Amino acid sequence: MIPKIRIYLADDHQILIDGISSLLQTVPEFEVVGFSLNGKNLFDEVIQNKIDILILDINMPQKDGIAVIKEFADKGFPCKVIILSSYDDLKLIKEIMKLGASGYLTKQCAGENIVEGIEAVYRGEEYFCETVREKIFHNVTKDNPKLNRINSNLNSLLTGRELEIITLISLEYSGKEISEQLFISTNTVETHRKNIMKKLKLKNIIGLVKYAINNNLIKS
Amino acid sequence: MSKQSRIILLLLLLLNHLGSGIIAKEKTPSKKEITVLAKAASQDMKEDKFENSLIKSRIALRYAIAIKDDNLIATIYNIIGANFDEMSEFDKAFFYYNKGLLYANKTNNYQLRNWLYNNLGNIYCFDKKQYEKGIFYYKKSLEYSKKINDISQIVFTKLNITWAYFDIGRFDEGFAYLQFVNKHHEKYGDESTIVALNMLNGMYYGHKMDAEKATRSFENAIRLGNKGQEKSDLSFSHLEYSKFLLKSGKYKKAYENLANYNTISAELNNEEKLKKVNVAGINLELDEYKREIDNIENKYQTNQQILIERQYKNKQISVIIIASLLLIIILFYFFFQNTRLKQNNKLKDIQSKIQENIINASINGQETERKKIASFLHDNISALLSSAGLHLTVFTSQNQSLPEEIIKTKFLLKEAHDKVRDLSHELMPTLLARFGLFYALEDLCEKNSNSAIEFKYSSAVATKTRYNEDFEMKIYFIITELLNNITKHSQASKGSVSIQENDKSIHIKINDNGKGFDTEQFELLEGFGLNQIQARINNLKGTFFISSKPDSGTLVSIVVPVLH
Repeated sequence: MIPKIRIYLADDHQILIDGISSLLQTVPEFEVVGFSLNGKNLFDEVIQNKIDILILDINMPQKDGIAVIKEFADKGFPCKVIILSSYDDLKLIKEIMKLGASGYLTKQCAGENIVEGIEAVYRGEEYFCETVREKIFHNVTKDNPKLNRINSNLNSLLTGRELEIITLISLEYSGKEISEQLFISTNTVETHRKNIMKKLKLKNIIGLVKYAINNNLIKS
Repeated sequence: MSKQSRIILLLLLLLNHLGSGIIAKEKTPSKKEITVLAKAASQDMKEDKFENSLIKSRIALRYAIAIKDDNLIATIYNIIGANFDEMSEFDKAFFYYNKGLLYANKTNNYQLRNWLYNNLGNIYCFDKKQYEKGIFYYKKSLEYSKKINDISQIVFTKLNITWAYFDIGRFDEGFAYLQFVNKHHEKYGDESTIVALNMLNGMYYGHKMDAEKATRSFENAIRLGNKGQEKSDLSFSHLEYSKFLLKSGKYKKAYENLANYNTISAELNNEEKLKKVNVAGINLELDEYKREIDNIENKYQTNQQILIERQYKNKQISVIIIASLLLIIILFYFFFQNTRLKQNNKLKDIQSKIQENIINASINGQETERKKIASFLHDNISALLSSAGLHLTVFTSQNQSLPEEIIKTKFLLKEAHDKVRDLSHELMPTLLARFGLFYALEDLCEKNSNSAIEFKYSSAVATKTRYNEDFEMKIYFIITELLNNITKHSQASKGSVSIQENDKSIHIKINDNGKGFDTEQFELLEGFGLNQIQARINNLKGTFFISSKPDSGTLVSIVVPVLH
């Protein structure tokens, strides 16, 4: 039997915890182990309950999410942390990712993306809900004249994130640059790249660029 | 008419006038006494008691000077002058007449001036033989007699002028005066001058070579002269008649007249000699007399001077007093104004303080409300909306069929959530609350930059530095306001925000290259909400300075003590 993903919730609104719990319970691989209405003693709770993933709100009484994640960073992360917040400010997200969070969800898109997010983070990737991800990508490429803006997610074979990575590679971003710009680790970048190659049955980077040009991701 | 009689005549007239005038006007006994004394002196002179007259005059003069009666002084000088005139001491007479004239000119007594000028004219013409001057004095005398409208006096003076002109041969000039005298003498003229008048007519016709009229006039003069008292005039008549007869070649008759003239003038000379002998006794004292008069005069003048000085001093003192009074009034006025001004200022200060307090309160209230609303939206509404969304997702994941209504509701929920988030963010930026002022400002500059304007942000303070939450919020919103102004009004293409921290104060400089404005125009300051900003900075005990000119950009610098 596959071990369930042990999840812990920290949010100061009971109503939200209820909502998330009921959503997560619909996924059989997930187990909501417990929850907390503030940021206190989270470190101990996580360790005691052998938590895999902590869903953490930033805005909490007594000890807020940022303080919690700082504590984790200081003491060593006992689990992966996904931030669930109504803030969607890029700077804030960037700072939080720098502190060591693995994923960032806004409360608006929690319903759509939380399951996917937990799965991705559990796999060891960084994850952002769709709106945030698009925002980050837009911020990176907003001044790039080579980018073809009209492109849409025509190719159902690749995820949105994977299309972004193809685009950046084709725009001659290095793996490290991509990881910095998109707030993700180089490992994640590499994983995405491998997945893309596998999905598109490509042999090398040239093929990848060709694909990007052919699909109008960038201007030739 | 002899000169002596003319003088006496004048004196009589003078005394009558003086007496009546003084009695009528002044009841002061001492003045009356002086007048009586002066009259006595005049009487003595008429009786040829010159010594007595002079002694009385001197006493009278002293009193007159003591009571400072210019009229009396002039009158007495005239008497003294007349005394000397009678004694043929013309220099002294001339001296006292002139003194008299000096005082007479201080009064309005035209009659007195008239006599004095006439007497001086006599001396110039008869004794000094300076006819031009004499005629000048006679004419002055005539001027005053005209002023008092005394026709007999006018006739008298004109007669003198005629004689003076005829003496120096200017018959044509004298004739006009002679005609006047001829016309009015019968009515206004004095008996004593009839001889002289006939003689003058004789002289004129003689000059005109009208033998018949000349002869008749001279004969008349001699006839009247022999009848009357005017021996001197009679003698002159003989002399002039003789000159005329000589010119017409009637030598025998001319000789007879000349002989007559000699006889009469010898008689007169004898009389004068007799008088002079009488006078000789006094003569020695005359110099002494003069000195004494001078003394009296000097003393008077010294007194007068002291008096004038005292008056001057008094005047000075009163000027000083008035000046200091004025000064005090002015000072008091200024003091009063100053106090009022101060009070006004105080009132204004209080008013502005109240205003400031109101503004501060409203700013603080605004900020509190802002925070309250932001956190309410963020914490509660946002959580509720998310939760609703989550529950819908649960529903959709459990049911394969997706009704249109559910999709629509989810969409609306997301829309509402976004709006709430935007509003909450605007009210209270996340970065400001979570990471502090410097993150927020950096972000603010980036967010405000667009294709039209670029804001550069530079800070010498570590980005992680945190201050008091309220303080950060206040500073943040002040800068937000200023950047808004730049974006809205300046038409700048570049802006910058630079921050430093010195001496526990934060120094903020906000610059743009826009069109600038005139900082003297208060409406603009008001319009840009700069007053509000000023008030907010005052509230933080900071300073606010704008440097701008039209077309040369704007620099705003703010220094605020830091609150940690």
